Amino acid sequence: MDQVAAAQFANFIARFYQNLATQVGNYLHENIGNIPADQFTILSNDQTRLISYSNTFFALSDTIAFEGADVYFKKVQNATNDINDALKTIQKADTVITIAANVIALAGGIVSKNTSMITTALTALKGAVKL
Amino acid sequence: MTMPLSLRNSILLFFCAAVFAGCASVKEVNAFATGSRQALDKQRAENFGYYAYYHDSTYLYHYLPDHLRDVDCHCDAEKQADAHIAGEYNQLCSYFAALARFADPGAYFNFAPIGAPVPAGTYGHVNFSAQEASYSAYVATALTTLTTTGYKAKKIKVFMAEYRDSVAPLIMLLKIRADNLAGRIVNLQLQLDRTADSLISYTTDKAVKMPVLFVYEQKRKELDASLAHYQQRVKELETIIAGGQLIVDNLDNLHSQSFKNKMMGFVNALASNYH
Repeated sequence: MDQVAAAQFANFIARFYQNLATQVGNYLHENIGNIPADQFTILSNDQTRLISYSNTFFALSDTIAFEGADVYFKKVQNATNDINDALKTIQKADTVITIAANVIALAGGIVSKNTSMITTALTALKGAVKL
Repeated sequence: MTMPLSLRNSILLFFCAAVFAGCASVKEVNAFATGSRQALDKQRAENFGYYAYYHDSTYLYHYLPDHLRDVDCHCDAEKQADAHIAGEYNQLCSYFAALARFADPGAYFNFAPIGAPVPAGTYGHVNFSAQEASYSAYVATALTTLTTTGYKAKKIKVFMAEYRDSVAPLIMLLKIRADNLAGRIVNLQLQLDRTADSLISYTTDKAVKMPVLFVYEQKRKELDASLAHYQQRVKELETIIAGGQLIVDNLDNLHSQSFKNKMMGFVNALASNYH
């Protein structure tokens, strides 16, 4: 993967986290006042983390500092569509919380280039999106 | 034996034409280069950049500060980053002005000073990689060569070799930068939505709801406008990249109708955005 491709991949991942943050935001917007306060707080904080990771990936893209991503490029790219689709239809707050927690762990793995952390998060997500 | 005057004139005309063929009028290339220069010049002048972004994010991401000083923006370094980005646009404007003049020797452009290449480094939250700095340095060197030494004797292949090696990669990086900034503006909007939604939903004081809603709508419109500018910027840069590649791919075919039609498609796309 050359530097420009690496920058584009970081941009792709940033957009993915932005999408998730948007979907969590939409969920909160629709359900605010209807879901328990503790679940609202968890999801609201998760949305902040998703936005923060999205910004982190945008920054990595700017600096073209994302080389070496080839190893997990395919795995992550394949998972993103399933996660996006799943979040569009899920209505249960606890399922959204589970998915959000695992995508946050996935982001940590990508930022630190920790392959085992990425694999663990992807396996957990595979189970969660089928819930 | 003396040559008839009319034949001598014809031969002279032929040689003149051959001499100027190197910088012959390629109307479509000229139109594309002129359109690209105008688009880049407009982008250079837009005022929402890294400074404005970090200024906004300082208080939008700092939910309910205790003091106003908590949301002070120490963003002077980002102004320098914006100046460097403007410098890169300046270089690209100069390149397309040179190309436009070359493609139509009758065209007149007032070349702006080319300026120094962007140095690699960190300016507050903004980082310029060694790769980006090297492209900027290549463009600066290429411009000096293209606009000074034996300018009229250059062939379009020389211009396009510089385009392929340094101009196109720099435009590509600026496109990624613009798309990243557009993405960050969307994130600012998400944060603004979240904060406003939370304040409006949970405040018990009805007198608070209206000012929150009013301020939310104002800021939202402002961010929408900046986002639209950046989305357009990305589209324009994509058009310039595609148009430049078309010239590179058709260097031996610049007078074909198929090339001219495709080139004018890019010219029209740039013009519709510009107006």
